[in-house]
Amino acid sequence: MTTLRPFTCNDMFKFNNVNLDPLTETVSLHNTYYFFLYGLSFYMQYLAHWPEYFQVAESPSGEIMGYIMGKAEGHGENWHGHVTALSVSPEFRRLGLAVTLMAWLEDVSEKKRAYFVDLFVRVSNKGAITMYKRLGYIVYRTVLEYYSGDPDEDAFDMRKALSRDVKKRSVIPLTHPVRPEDVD
Amino acid sequence: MPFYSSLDWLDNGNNKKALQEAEKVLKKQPNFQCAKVLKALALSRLGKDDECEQILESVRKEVPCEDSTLQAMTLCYREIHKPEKICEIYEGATKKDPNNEELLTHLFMAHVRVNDYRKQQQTALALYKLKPKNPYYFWTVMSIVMQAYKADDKISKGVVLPLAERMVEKFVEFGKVEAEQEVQLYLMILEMQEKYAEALEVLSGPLSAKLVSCLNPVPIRRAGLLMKMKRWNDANLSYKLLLRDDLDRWSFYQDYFTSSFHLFDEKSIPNSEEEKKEKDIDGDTGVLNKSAEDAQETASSPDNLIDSKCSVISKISQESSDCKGNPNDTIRVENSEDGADEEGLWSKADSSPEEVKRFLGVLSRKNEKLTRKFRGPYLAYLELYQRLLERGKENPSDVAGDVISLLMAYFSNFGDKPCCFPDLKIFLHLLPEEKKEEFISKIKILVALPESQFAENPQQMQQHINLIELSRRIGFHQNLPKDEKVKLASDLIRHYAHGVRFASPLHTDFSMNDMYAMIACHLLYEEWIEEKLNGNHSKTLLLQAMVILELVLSLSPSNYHAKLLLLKIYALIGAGKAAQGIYELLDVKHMQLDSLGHIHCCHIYSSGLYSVAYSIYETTLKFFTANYKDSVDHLTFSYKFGSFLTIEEFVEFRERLDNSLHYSSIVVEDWLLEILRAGNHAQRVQTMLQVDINLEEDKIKWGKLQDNRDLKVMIAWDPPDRQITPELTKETFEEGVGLLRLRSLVLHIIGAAITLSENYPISGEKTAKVTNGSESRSDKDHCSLLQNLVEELTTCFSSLGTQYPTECHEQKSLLQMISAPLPSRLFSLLRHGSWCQHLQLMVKILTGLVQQDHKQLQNVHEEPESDEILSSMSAASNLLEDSVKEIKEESTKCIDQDCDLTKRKSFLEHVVLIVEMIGVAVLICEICQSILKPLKNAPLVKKAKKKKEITNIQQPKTLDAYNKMVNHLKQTTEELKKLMETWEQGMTASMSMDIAAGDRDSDSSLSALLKDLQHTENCNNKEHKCTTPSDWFSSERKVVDKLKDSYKASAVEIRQLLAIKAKNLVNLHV
Repeated sequence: MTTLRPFTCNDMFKFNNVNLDPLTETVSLHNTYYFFLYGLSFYMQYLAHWPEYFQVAESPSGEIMGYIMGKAEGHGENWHGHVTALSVSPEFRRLGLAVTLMAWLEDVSEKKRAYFVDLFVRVSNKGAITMYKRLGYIVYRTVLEYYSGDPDEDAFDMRKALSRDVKKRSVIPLTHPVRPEDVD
Repeated sequence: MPFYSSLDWLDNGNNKKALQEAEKVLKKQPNFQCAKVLKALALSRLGKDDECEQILESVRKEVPCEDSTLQAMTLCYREIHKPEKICEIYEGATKKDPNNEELLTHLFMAHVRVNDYRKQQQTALALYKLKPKNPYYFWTVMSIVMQAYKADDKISKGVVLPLAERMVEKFVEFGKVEAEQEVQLYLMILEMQEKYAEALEVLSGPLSAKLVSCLNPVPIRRAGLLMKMKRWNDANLSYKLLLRDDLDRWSFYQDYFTSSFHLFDEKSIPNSEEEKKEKDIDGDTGVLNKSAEDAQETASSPDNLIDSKCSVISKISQESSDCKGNPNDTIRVENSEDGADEEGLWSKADSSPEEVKRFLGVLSRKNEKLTRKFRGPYLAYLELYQRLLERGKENPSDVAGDVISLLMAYFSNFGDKPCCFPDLKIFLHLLPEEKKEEFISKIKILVALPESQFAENPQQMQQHINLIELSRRIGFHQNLPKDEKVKLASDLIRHYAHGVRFASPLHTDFSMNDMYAMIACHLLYEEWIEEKLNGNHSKTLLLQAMVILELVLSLSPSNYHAKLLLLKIYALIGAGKAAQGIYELLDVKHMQLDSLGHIHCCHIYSSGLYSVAYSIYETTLKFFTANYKDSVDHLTFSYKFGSFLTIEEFVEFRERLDNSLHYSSIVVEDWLLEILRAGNHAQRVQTMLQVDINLEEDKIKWGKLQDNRDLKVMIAWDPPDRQITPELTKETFEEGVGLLRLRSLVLHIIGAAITLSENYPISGEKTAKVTNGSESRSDKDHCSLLQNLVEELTTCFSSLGTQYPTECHEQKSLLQMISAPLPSRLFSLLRHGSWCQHLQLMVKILTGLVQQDHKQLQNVHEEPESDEILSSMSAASNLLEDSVKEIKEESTKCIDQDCDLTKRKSFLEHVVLIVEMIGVAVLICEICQSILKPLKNAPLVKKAKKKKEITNIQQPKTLDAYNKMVNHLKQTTEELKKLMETWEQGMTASMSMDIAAGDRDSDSSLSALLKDLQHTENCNNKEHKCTTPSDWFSSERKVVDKLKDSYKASAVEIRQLLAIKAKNLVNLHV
């Protein structure tokens, strides 16, 4: 049982049950590094720019079950939805919540007439990769050392074509890996 | 070119180089504005704000219009926290160049930064007149709306909002509305005025087509508006349709029930006042309303209903299914399956319990057919049961069914998921006392795990865990006798050890079996606290809990529940360094520095780990100041992107963070700590120079302080009476406010004393001038300020003392609640009141000496004054001596084998307080010395014979007493230092004995059991990940080592600080 509603600033005071979890990747995305200086800016940036792409799922007892944040960007046929963060609290895993949240983001992207949805995931995060594949995402390319850490870790850039991309041109995998600086 | 290289250096953070390059440019082109500003920027980053401001001021007077200069100035003003100046420079520029769109835009954003809504409005309007673009027009509208946000209701609704509304309407009339955000703003303005009918009209009209970016926006918004308009019939129907497409939306069920229940009431009292009123309101709002009335009139004769409502329904229904297209097949519910027997179901509101029951039945049947079932329909029955029970008219079981069956229906589907407990916990109170046993035994049958057997698969294990969690919530653990409680804990540990084989191979996942261990620890903690409150101190229980938690963490490093509990226990027994270790594992960052500040940041200082406390304070403060600066930028982004709905929220959020109690407290604690740790008086004066307080006036907005703590973060399965309540949240918040009041006054007093010392330069060197809040103050003013502050402190202290009598029950109940925050330091400050008396005495000595000094200069001679100083000096010395005596006793109790472990915390807390007293004494002595020193030399320096005589008579007494006090202080400091050494050794020895005791303990001891356990566990489990004996042993060792190390670290830091104080004292004789 879930209530989906827009994420609000006040949620930041109480989403610790989700964010204390190390799986929450929001703080290690490479290309948005600047915003993590003070993580708060990161959330507010999204709230200011793409509020419609930031949803939180709440349980009947008022706990935050998880959230998804994303954005729409790109030009021409590269106009796409992007999943920036998807996180589900440990207590509410295995309920298909991630699937619901992903479906929701894809719907929003459809409405915005995007060509595809993409996301980055650690190559080691097998569970997540399996789930995304089940939802129809393919590995479009590998981004080398995308996640900084010790050692740095590669990311898969995964994609799923939306209905506007009739010829499914956005999901033809690249044969060579790319460097983070080449990712637009 | 040097100009650009100056920019580069700034970017790279090499501000010295940047300064040099900027100066080079200025040598050639002294009037190069932008280079001047870059110089200013470099200066500000080098900490020279004054010079920076001078340059900025001179450039500002030239009224620059060039973009790069203005941008650089903006950056500067932001960094020196003067956003209002940004408005000034752009105001000047736009006056010079009124047709510059870009400058006007910057001016608008500058006003946004300082929340000047009226000027925002003017600027946006000027922009629109210059370039008639939609965003500028709506910036104007939004600026008007924000004026309503701060205004009182009457004005905002009566004048401001209608103006905003008219402005939008004008645009609508001319068909100029373009963007979705503009429609959203329109709706927001209507809703703010409670013009729901008008909003509904917008949603039904052509503008609604612009709402594209959110899913299903129109039907959901419409349903929400119908609820606000109390049009229960239409609202109910809307929610039915929404639920048809989304079986799992809790908020839809809530509104569905609320509207249905209103319809029940209307039906039972057909001509109620309320209905009449509603009709009046509905009178003029078009098609939908008419049908609503129809529906109400014909509610009792359903045959008439279908025709009259058909058009509306089909409209809602169509939108609902149009907009809500869920691509996930398992989620989509096929309408065709509704079947003939459900005819009329989707066109009629449910106005009786039977109809609601029928509707839920339909949803349940849909749910049953899904491959992945939703929790929604199961929980909906429980919600219905609860609402019927509250209403008290129908028998809930007749309508919703038997409560045990309802709970079991959920459990049999979701009992193997971790969400089971959080979902069911809010409904367990529906079980009457006599049915609890039955419920639990039914679950037991379902789980089918006989005692002394272990789960065969992860599903069964999760079910079993849920069973235990539910039993605990119902209260079955609470009343168990001690032996059984401990036995249950050991059983759970067996299950835990067994369940390791089902743990996820990923380190980032929680291991499912962890919860066994967590509940075991809760049981041990619970038993430990019960015993403690009964006066028995059983260390072993708490030690065992720590060992278990360390073990859990070593196998499941991402389990934050284990971290939070372990951190709490370490903090509870004063093991600051051990707590710090866990805190680092939690990786607390940004917002959590505020919302989780109460778990560690607030307590670390009391363990004597000054350096750790200081670094956590600094991180915390950096976050708050950065946020205050940065969040303004996001506000400007919101205007830029037209996200009008977030603007009000951002403004509120910014204030909520800025008024955080935690923030204010840490600001004060940080300064106090810095002054305490300063190596000498000059450093203390230097620190005071930076303190941003106003001595006469309080900067803290007491009425606006915000409680931003997340008190729900710690998991607890305890019954409701052991859960933190809103009242308790409020009480603990107020305790925090009380603590802040005391500490803030102490800071003010110390600040005033240091400020006073500027008039008495030490050893001839003129110290930097400290003028906080006022220009040079006379000594007399200083003294009365100090006396006033001390008086205020005394009053505050005694009123808090009355409010919180020592050892009040609250603290006890706080400790009983495992998820509650630790008791505030306020209680320790109230218990050991001598610090307050001592501070009073020290201030008395200081002001006495200053006054005496003045009188002597004016040749006035009064004996009693001097006597009072002398007696204060000896009283202060005695107070300190007594405190050290007291602490000596406490220290032996700490080391004692059978002692209460929390004594270690209260011991350290008290020591830290005494160290503070010594710190204050040293600080005041430093100032006294600078007053007395010239007097001692007076006979040599001063020529007047008369004066010489007086000083000769007067001084020896005061001087002797002063020197005696300094000696005494030195002695006490050394004594405390030595005591910390003995204590440290004692603790190390005591900890070693603890292990030995654990080993020796009776068979019931958990450790014995644990050690037994691994032998059986260890066999035949090679293919599974498994706990091995070394795990248990190493955890035990880990705990003991951590505790030893922690107490040692505290003792060492305290001794180091005392050593500095002792060194200060060597030079303080006159």
